[in-house]
Amino acid sequence: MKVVCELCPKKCALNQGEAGNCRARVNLDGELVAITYGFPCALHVDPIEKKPLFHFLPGSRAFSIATAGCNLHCLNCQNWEISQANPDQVRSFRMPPKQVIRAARKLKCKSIAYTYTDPVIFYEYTLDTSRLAREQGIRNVLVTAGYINHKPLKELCKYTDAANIDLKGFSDKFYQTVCNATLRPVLNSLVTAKECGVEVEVTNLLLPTLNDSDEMISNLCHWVKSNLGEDTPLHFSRFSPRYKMRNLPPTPIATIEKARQLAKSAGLKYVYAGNVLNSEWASTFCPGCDKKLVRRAGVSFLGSKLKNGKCPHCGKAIEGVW
Amino acid sequence: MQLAKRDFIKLLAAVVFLPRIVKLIPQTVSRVTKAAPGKRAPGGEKTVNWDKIQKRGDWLG
Repeated sequence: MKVVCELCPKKCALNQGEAGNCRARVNLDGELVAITYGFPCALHVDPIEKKPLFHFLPGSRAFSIATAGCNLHCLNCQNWEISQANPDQVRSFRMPPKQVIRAARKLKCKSIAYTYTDPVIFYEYTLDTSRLAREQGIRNVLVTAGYINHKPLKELCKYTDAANIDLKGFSDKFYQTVCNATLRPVLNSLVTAKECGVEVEVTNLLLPTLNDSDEMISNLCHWVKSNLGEDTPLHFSRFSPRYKMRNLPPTPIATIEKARQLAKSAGLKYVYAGNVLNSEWASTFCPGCDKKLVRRAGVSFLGSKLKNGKCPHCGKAIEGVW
Repeated sequence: MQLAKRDFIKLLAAVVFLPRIVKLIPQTVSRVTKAAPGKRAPGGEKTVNWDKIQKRGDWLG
């Protein structure tokens, strides 16, 4: 029997024994099986700032897990060794949801991050682990490209506390040629996550000549402001040559600076730069009085002056979970 | 002899066209969002090195 996987917009129709475009979901005897469920190939304790999440429990640890496979195939993927591999080519740990919770506790992590590849493809594992974590008082964090259908995302959002969702470029052509995906479902996911009360931060990785035009960056910023709100943190990330995109140079610092300016002109209050050694661009400033409130260097948390989530100087409430 | 030839043509037509006709019959398709858990690590298992994981997080201070 043919199985149609309705988890992501690709809606793969799978014949017997066939795997989906993500390589992690297989039709076995007419039943859709998530072959990486409970078998993460990557386990790390990361600072939450590495996700990047700058407005969510700063300075805390996130127990970070991923399984092999991905439903996107970005030519510039940073984790292509696991995201673009068949799960049967990657050795994994045996770690059912209960053990993930135990490990997070043991390693004093305030949250579990479903990250590195894309939690969408190990959806059931993420969902079951998130449910258990919520019961145990551990937060859940998604780091995702947001390429998922509305219904399953809504279900997952019930247990998700924060998410960093990539908005890889503000054009459908870019998504099609670089990521093997489309733009609209990602925009829908961003809005859905926000509506569900998830603390959403957005990352835009700037690829020289492909998604770094003034017009595209400006459109992206205006969309974020209009649809997610001016308080939504936006991270511009610097690209370094990887995977099938080693022909491009790293993003010039001037491009990152330009993007920051465009975002501020669009009215976004919290704009950051990733993969750049500039502590000013990684720190949080009060939009009311412009005082530095949370100090960071790269992904290292150096200290916070916030008092109950408010600026101690002017009393302005700063968006986030502090 | 004539009859046998006709039968042979019928048989040939059936062999050629029947699979095509069968293909036209809609297949049973199951539409699902959630998948069942896998039973074993598809690429083999490795052991968790807790010390190494702890060490990676140590620089947080």
